[in-house]
Parts: sequence; structure tokens; C-alpha cells
Amino acid sequence: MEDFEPRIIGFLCNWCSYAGADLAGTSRLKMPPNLVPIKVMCSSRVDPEMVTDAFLRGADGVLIAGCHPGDCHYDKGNYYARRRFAVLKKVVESLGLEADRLRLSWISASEGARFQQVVEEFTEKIRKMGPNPTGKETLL
Amino acid sequence: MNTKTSVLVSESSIGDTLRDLLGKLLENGEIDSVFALRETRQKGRYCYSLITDPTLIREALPFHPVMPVQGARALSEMTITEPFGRPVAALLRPCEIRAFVENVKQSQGSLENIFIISCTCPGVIPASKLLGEDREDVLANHGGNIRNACRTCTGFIPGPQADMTVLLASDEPHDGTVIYLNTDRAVEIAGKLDSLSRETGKPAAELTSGISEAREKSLKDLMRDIPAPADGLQSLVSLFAACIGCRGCREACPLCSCVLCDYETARTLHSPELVRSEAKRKGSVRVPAGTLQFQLGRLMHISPSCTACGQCSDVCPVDIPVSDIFIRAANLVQESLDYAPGRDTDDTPPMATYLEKELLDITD
Amino acid sequence: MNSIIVDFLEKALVSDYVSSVLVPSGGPDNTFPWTLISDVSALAMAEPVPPVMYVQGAKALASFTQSMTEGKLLAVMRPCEARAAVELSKLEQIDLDNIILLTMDCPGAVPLKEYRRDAGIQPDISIPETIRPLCRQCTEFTSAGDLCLAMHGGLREVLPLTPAGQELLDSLGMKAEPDTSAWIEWASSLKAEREAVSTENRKSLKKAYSGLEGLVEVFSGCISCRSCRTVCPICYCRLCFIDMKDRRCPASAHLENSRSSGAARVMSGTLLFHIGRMAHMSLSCVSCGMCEDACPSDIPVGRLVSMVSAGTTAVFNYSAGSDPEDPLPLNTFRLEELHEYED
Repeated sequence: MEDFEPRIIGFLCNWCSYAGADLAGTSRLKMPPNLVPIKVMCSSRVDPEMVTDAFLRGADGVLIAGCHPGDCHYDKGNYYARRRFAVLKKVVESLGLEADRLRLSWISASEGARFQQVVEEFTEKIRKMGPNPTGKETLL
Repeated sequence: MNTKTSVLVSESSIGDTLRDLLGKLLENGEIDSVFALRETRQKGRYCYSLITDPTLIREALPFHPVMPVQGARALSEMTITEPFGRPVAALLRPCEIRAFVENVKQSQGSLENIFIISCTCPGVIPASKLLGEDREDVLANHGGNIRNACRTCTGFIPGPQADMTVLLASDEPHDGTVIYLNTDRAVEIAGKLDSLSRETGKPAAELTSGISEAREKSLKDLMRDIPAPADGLQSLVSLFAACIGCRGCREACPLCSCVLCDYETARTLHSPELVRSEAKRKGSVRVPAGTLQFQLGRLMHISPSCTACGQCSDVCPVDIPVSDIFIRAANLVQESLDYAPGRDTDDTPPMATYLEKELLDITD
Repeated sequence: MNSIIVDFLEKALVSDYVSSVLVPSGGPDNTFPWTLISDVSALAMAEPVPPVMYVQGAKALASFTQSMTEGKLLAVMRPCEARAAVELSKLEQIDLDNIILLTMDCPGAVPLKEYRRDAGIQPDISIPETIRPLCRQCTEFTSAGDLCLAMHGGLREVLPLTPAGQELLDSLGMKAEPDTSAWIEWASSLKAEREAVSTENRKSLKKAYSGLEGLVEVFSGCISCRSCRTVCPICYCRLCFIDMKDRRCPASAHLENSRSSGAARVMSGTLLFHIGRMAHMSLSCVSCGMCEDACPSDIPVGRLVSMVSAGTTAVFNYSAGSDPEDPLPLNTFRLEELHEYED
């Protein structure tokens, strides 16, 4: 377990969170390298099925990050994203899977430091949870 | 016939011999991975797996008499975008090989780097028969429980794509294991397996002529009996009356590889006016429309290349004898087109070619 | 029950208020295909409440009502079918204008495969063993749609549930105003009973198959035939996410997948398919049990989706198929909500 390095998939909205990640980078903020970013045009673009896919393929954590409520580039996308995420969490929870491996965070383009903090926090949390058992399941 | 062929023999059971052989091939790097059946965490339920770890090869169930999914469908899923970059040994039944050859012709997969180990096939048991507590008895009486499609299968000896053929079905019961080496690659690989002795033996066809005869006869009976052609439309309507439209037959079929089936397109939605006018004309009309149309349409699309695996009947929740109907039609179609599906990747699919002078008896 | 409904259908057709009816009819080989009938004489074959469900009624209805029908269409359906029709109308797959849904006190349905083995079995609401597992725990066994035929509490009466239902009764000159108190009593006591059963069943299902190991086990026998999806009235997509071309993985990824754990199941999307499907449709699931009937591997898929659905609908206090005016939870939002899911 000691050499466990979490692999976290991050679906980052183009307009806020991806820019926030960029800012964190250009500001040379130090953060764990465990998050693999995937740029999406809006947090509402993330179909629950995409998160499920990452989860079942062994991602130790999945982060969806988008603009703060009220700031969506497309006006209301993130409100819908929040509902979808709630559904997904409930599905995963009802099936007895580890819903804590999924996270929804709002990070604006100016919040480089918040991005750093979310990544740090989430990575640590996942590290404590240990590897996602889906990664070793041979009958999936 | 008095020809002799090169075989590997072992006194151990077929399962042990193959697991041992495959484990060695994995260990010495001859192959990267093994495509074989495994039992799942539920008794009597199986799945195809790709096994890379030599120690996990003990879980492989070579030629266990089940077909949870058609092997071709699974191989196609893996090789549709690119061939395997490293050698994979695949344990496949003859109908699975044929179906996969058809897949390859239709750009739905690649045979590259696949080392095929097949068998003279005694047939498989319908999945539904293994769901109950009596599965051990069912397995013990394997021959009495095989699929209808297997009973009428005359293509139970694999074609030239098989690198090795294990003698499984044979007229006389035999102990131990006999493996035919069909290709140079097989001979090369056999050279590296010192635990198995090389001998010469009679060709598989000679050792299975009795089975072949029985199968021919069953096929003839099927061609005569199903569906009784004299009854025409009514018998077809009755035959598919119980169809719930689950499309399981299509999904399970290794040859139905369309991403979006014609019968799923919006074209199959009807306007209320159209259905109402039909209802007016006939007094009443069945909805959703198109049960027979779907079955017949699929028959048109698939019959030239149907490899008679019987998977469609196996999945049908209401026990419609889909494969009987398909096998009968496929035999007639393939005969008239002079086409043998799965024989050779170089054969052109019959619907993708034509001769200027042919089929003159159906035109005027 | 069948004859009361057939009489009612006949009245409706003769009155010209209704121009066609959708109802199961007796077919060959113990089948009950959905039929659209506009000729009174064809009602002779009608079997409004067959012992078994071959095709979910909403699915049959959606096959030709995506645009509005001309003239009134009266559809006889089980409550779960009518509820699915309401969901499909919200999903714009059925235009319910001009469609009147008539339901009944549903006796439940015999499991399809059992019925195919023995067509003598009849569903009996008081003998749970005769009906499907999901029917046994169904709490929405009556009072869906526009009208409902009450068969309990001393009634044999079609009761209006909506203005559209009332209008039909009025036009047929049916003005009975029966005492429904005993019937309501019956329904609420059965509902309470079923709720207890359902809670118990969901608990034991969750216990048996919870977590990754349990899920892998329960879906072990899945052969990817997708029948559960195809027969589901709610799964209306023409091309499911799981079948999309961009989901295809290269051979190298399959080998890599196998290498990382030593072995890997092929036709690998099994759990993804089922969990993804639940994420997509569980909010609208009416627990009709058709998926379970269709499964050739006898996976309790309907009970699992229903269990998940109980969880997801609770988040939005939503009840699938109950109120046509209640928007689909995923098609709307509130500015202030679900804060426990975000940060």
C-alpha cells in the first residue's frame, strides 16, 4: 500500500476549472501529480456513464469540476451537472460501491489556489482510501 | 483413406494438457495472452477471458461445453480497431472460427497474431440448462443436452484457420489427449513442448465419420421439418407470435455487427395515421409492428454468412427456435450462392460480388 | 375483469368519442399481442388484462404515437404501463394529447418464462407465488392513468382519475358515483403490506449483492444480449451509449487491461452497461419487471434497477409516472439545492 499512487481522472470545464488549473500551473503552485485532466466544454457535458467508465477501469478517484453556480458559461449547465452528479452518487451508493471516490467541485478561472487545494485534498483522501478494487478485478 | 497426420499426444486429460501447454507458452513468451472460457463467481455461468498471467491459466476451461457469448463476437470487440500486436492463443469452436472469418471479411476484426486452437466439436449445452441445480447431471450427459444447432452441425471439424485441433468429438471414446498440428506455426510451437510426444495418427475426419453421418441426417430432418413450408404465412406468424422484441438474437449473433440495426432506426416508428388506417382496413393491427419484418430482415442480412452456431436460440427468453429457422434458410441461400461462410478469408462475401452469368434460373 | 373492460371499450368505440383502442388480444400459442382496434367486432379477441406481459404497453404505444393522434385513442394498460407512458410523454416519445389511459386494479403478471412453460398459471393478487418478484413488491398496483377499473372493496366500476377520464365517462353517460371508501381501504392496506415487502426485499438484495464483489457476482451470467435495455419502455435511445463506435478500445488496450490484473473478462462492458443504464433511466423506472422477464440468464436485473431507483428518486422526491406535470428531475433544477453533493 505504501507505494500506492492514486490515479485521479479530472473532468474540467473549459471556461473555469481548466483555466483555474492553468493558473495554478503558471503560478507555479505545487500540487500532487495524480490528477489526469480531461477538458470538457461544460461540467454538464459529463455523462454519468463517462464517470462510471473511468471508475470501473480502475480510476481511484474521479473529479468533476466546473464554474461556480451562477457563473456557467452556458448560463445553467452546472445546475444540471449537479443534478446528474447527485443521481450518479445515489446509483453508486445504492449499489454499495465507494461513492466517496467521486467528487464535484466548483473552481473558477481565477482560483488557481483553490484548484491546488482541491487536488491536494482529494489526492490525500483517495490515498487513504487505497486503490480502487476495480483495477484488480478480473471478472469485471 | 490411409493418410497419416502429425499429432501431439498426452496421457493427461484434455483440460490439463491444454492448461499445461498454454501455461508453458505464456511463460516462455511464445504467446502474450490466452483467450479462453472461465467460470464466473456463480456456478454454471461462464465468460470469455483474456488471461496473461501464467498462474491464472489454471482457471481456464478449455472447450467447456458452453458458449456464453459467441467467441467471434468477443474477438471482434477486441480487434475491430487494430489487430493484436502480440500473439494471442484463442480457444475457439469451429463455428466461432467461421464466424470470425466472416467478421474479418467485413472489416469487423483481424486474425493477425491469433494462434487458434480448436477442436472436433461435440457441441455445447444451452445456457438455460445450466442455470438449475441439476447442472452437474446436465454436464455429465453432455451429448444428450447439446443445442439443436449442434445436433445438426456438419461443420464440427475446424477449417484451415485452426493451427491446432484437439480431438474432442470422435466415434470411439479415447483416453488422454490428441492434438493435430495443422500449420507450420503449430509444428514450430510443438517443437518447444517437450512434455508432449509427437506421433502420427489418422486424420480427424476418419475418426469422426460416424458423428458426421448422424449430423447429416439430423440436418436433413431439420431441412424437411422446420418450418413446415406448406403452412406458409400462418405458421411463420405463429412461430414468432411469442417474440417480445428483445432483439437478444441479434445482439448475440456474431454476424449482426451493425452499430445501429436497420430495425432500430427512427424509420421503424410509424405515424399514428398509418397504424390507424391499417387498423381500419383490417379491423385490428398488432403493435409494435414489424415482428416478422425484423426476423425476415435479419434473415436476409445474415443468411449468406450464418455459421449455424445456435447462439440466437440460446438467448431467446421465449424459446423460439430461431436457429432452426436460420439454419434452414442459410443452407438454402448458401447453396444457391455457392458460398461457404468461414472457409477462407480470401473468399469474397457473396453479397459484395456477382458474376455476369449466374442465378439464371431465378430470372427471366 | 376482462369482460367489464371489453364492454367499456365497446361502449367507447360505439359512442364515437373514441376512435380506436389499444388493448392486448389473444394471439396464437398463448400470446397476447398489443392490438390497435377500430372495429367493434375485433374486440371479440381482446384480453385487456392478460396473465403475462409480453411487451410493455408503453413501448407498444410509443411505437406509433410520437406525434399526436387524430381522434381519441383509448389505451388499456396495467398501472406500471400507464406510468411508463407518462414518463415517455415527458421524454417526448409519446404525445399523450388525445390518448386516454385506462388502468385497473392490477393482479400482477406471471413470470414470462414460467408462463411459457405452463400457460395454465393465472396471476392471483392474493398468492404472491403466482406473480413476478417485482409485482409482489409493487406499491403502484392501481389508480394510474385517466381512469381505473376498481375491482376490490365491493366495486366493479370504472372510476375517473383526471378531467380527461371524467369527460369520457360523461360522454358515455356513465354517471355512477359509488362509495369508494372500502376500495380505498383495500388499496392502502395492500400498499402498506407491499411497502413492507419491498423494503425487506431491497434490504436483502443490497445485502446479497452490495459492493464490487457482489455486483460482479450478480451480473456474472450477463451475456450482453441487451434484452433488458431493448424491452425497457424507458430506454428509448436508438443508439445506446454502450454501442457507440467511440467506445471501442484498441486490441492493445484489451491486452494491457488483462496484463494489469492477470486476466480480464472479455465483452468487458458488463458492469459499465448496467450501472450506466441505471444512471440514465433509474429516475423514470416504473418497476414494471419487463427487463427481468426478458433476461435469458435469470439475473434479478429489474429488482436491482428498482432498488437503485428508490434511491435516486428520493433525492428529488420524484415519483415516476405519477404526475404528467411534474418535470423530469434532470430537465430542471433549483438554484439552491443538493449542496451536500458539491463543494
